[in-house]
Amino acid sequence: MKMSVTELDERLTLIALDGRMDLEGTQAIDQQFGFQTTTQKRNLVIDLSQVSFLASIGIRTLLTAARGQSSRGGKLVLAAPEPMVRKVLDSTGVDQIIPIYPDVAAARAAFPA
Amino acid sequence: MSAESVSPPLHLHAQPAAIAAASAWARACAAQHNLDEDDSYRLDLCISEWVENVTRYAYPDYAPGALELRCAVAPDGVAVTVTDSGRPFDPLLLPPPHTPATLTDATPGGLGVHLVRKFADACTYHRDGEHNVFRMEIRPHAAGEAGTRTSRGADRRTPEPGAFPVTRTDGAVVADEPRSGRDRRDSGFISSFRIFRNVPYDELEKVLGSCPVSEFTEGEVLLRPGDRNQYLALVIRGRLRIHLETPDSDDYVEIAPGDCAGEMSLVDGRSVSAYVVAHDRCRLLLVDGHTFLNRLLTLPHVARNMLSMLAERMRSSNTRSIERAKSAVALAALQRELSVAHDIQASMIPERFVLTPARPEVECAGFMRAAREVGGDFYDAFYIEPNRLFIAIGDVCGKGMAAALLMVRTMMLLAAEASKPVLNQRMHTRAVLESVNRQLAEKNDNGYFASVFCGVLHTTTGLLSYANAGHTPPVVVRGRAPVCYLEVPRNPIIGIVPEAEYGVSELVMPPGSTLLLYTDGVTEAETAGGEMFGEERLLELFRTKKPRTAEMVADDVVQAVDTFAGGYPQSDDLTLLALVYRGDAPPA
Repeated sequence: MKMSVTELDERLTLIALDGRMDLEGTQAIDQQFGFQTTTQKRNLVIDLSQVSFLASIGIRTLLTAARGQSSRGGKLVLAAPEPMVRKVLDSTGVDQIIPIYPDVAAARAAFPA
Repeated sequence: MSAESVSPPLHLHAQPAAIAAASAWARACAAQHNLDEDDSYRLDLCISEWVENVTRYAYPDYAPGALELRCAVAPDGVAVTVTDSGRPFDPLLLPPPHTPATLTDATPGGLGVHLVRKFADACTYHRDGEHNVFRMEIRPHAAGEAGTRTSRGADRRTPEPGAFPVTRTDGAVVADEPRSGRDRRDSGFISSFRIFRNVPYDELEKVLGSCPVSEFTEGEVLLRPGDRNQYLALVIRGRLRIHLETPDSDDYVEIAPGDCAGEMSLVDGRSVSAYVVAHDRCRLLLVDGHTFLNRLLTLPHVARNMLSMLAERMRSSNTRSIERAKSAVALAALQRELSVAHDIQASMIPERFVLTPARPEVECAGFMRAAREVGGDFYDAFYIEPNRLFIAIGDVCGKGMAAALLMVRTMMLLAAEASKPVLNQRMHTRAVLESVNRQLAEKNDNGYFASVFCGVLHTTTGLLSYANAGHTPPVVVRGRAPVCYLEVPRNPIIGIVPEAEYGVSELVMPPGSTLLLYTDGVTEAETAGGEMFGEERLLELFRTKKPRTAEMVADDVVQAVDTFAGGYPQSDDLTLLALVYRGDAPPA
C-alpha cells in the first residue's frame, strides 16, 4: 500500500491511496496517514481510485481520520472508489457519514472557495 | 467445476500474517473456480474478514491456535469452510452494527462479521465438539442483486443483518436475529441461558412458568450487604452491577443478559455480601429460594451448569486480582525509574548550587525545583577560560520524562559548544546558540523546543555579552540605575528552525551589579485564586531588598515566590541563577 500527498491549493489537500486496504496495507500507511489526517485541521480529499480492495480494517482507518478531522473542524471526503469498494462502503453505512464523490473533480467542487 | 479442481486445504496459525495468506489463497480458489473479479473480491473479503476475526478473538493472545480453510464446490458456486478450535462463537447470532447518525457516534469496529454476512450468499455455523465451523458460500453473479439491495437508501437506514434466513446445521431455520423481538421468554430466550444449557425446555417451562418477571429502573439498588436474599435473579434485559464497597464505586462486576445474580447467598444461606444495582433499565426473572433449591437445582444439568458458572466467576476474579497485583508492580517499577531519573537530574543540576570560593570577583548561585519528579528547566555556570564565565538558563517545552530528556540534551550541547575554543570573543554566545539550535532542530521529529538565555561574563572588565532564544529577559541591577529587565535580542526559540540566526548584545556590569536569570516558573507562580506572581512583583523585590551575596538573592526570590503561592501546588518548574559581580573590589 502506498500513499501520496498533494496540496491542491492552500485550503485543500489530496491524499491518493494505492493498493489493498487490508491489514497489511493499512499498517503500511498507518502512521503517515494518521499524521497527515489527524494532527492538524485540514480539508482532505482521499482518492480511492487505485484502492483495489477495502476490508473492515481499512474502513476503521478512514473513519478514524474523518472523525479526527471533524473534531478539529476540518473535513474529509472520499473520491472515486471502484464499484466493489463502494459496495463495502455502502454496506457498512460509511456513505451515511462521510461524503463520497464519483471522482476527484466532484470532490473538489464540494469545497467552495 | 470438477472435483479435481478443488484447492488443497490451507493450514494457518491464528496470527495477523494468516490474513494475507488466507487472502492470497482465496484469490487462488476464485481463479480455479473461474469466479469473476467481483465474486473473487467477495470471496477474498469474506475469508479475510473471518480469518481476522478468528486471529483476534478465538484464542488467548499468548496461545494462538490453528485454523484450517477448505474450499469446495457447492451446488451453485464455491463454499469455503473455516475451522478453528478457539472459544465458541456463532457469528450469525451477532446483532447487526447500528448505523451511526454522525461521525462522532461512529465506533469503527465490529464491521468484519457484518461484511461477511452482507457479501456471502449464504453462511452457516456450527460447533463441532471443540471446533467452530463456519461455512461461507459465494454464488457467481449474485453480487449484482446484493449491490442493488445495499445501494437502496431505505436499506441503509435500517441495516439488515444479511444472509438471513440461514439454515443451521442442526436443521433449525434462523429467520432473524434470535435475540431480538419483544417476546423473548416465549421464544425460549431464557432457556438459552447458560445455567439451563441442555435442560429439556418443557421441564424448565414448568418450573419457571410460575416465577414473576420484574422491571427495575436505572440506579435502583436491589440488594445491600447484610440483606437476606430471597431470589435468584436471571437477567433478561439490561445489566446489573455488583459492587463490593459502595453502590457507586468504580470497581464492579457486570451481570449481562443470560447471566444471573443472587445464587451465592441462596446456596449458602448467608446474608448478601455486596450491592446489587440496576445499571440501566432491567428486566429480571425472579426465582424464589424454595423453587431454586428444590425444583430448579434438581433438574438435570442445572447443578452442573451452575458449578461451571461459579468456577468461571472464581477464575475471572482470580485473574482480576492477579492483573491488579501486576499493574501495581509495574507502577512501582516506573516510580523507581522516575526516582532514579530524578537523582540523575539532581546530580546534574543541584537544587542549590553556589559557585564562588576560588573566584572572589564573581559569585553565582543556582536553584531549581521541578514540579514533578523530573523537570524540563536547567541552569549552568562554568568558566570557559580563566577570566570568562559562561552562564545559561533554559526551559524546555512540556514536562515529565520527554522534557527531561530534551533538557539533558540541550544542556549537554550547550556545555559542549560553549567549551569549544573561542574564535571570536564577541560572537561566541551567538555561535554557541546557533550551533546548538542547528543540532537540536535537525533531529527533532517531535517538534519539541526550548527557550535559552546564555552569556559570557568577562570577570576583569565586567563586560557581559549575551544572546537569547525566546527566553524571559533577566533582571539587572547596576549601581544606582533603576532596577530593570535586561534588553534582549528578540530571537526564536531553539530546536525548530535549523538556520535561525541569533544576535549578540553587550552590557557592562560595574562592580556591585546583580543579574538574575530565571524561568517563567517564577513570574507565573500562581496562588490558589489564580493570581500570578508577575514581572512587576519581581522587580519590586529587588527595589526593596539589598542582598549582599548571590545565594541571598536566590533565597530571597524563592522565598518571595513560596510566600506568594502560599503552598498552592505549582505546575511549572521553578529555576533561577543569580549572579553578583564584584569585579576587583576586595572580597567581602
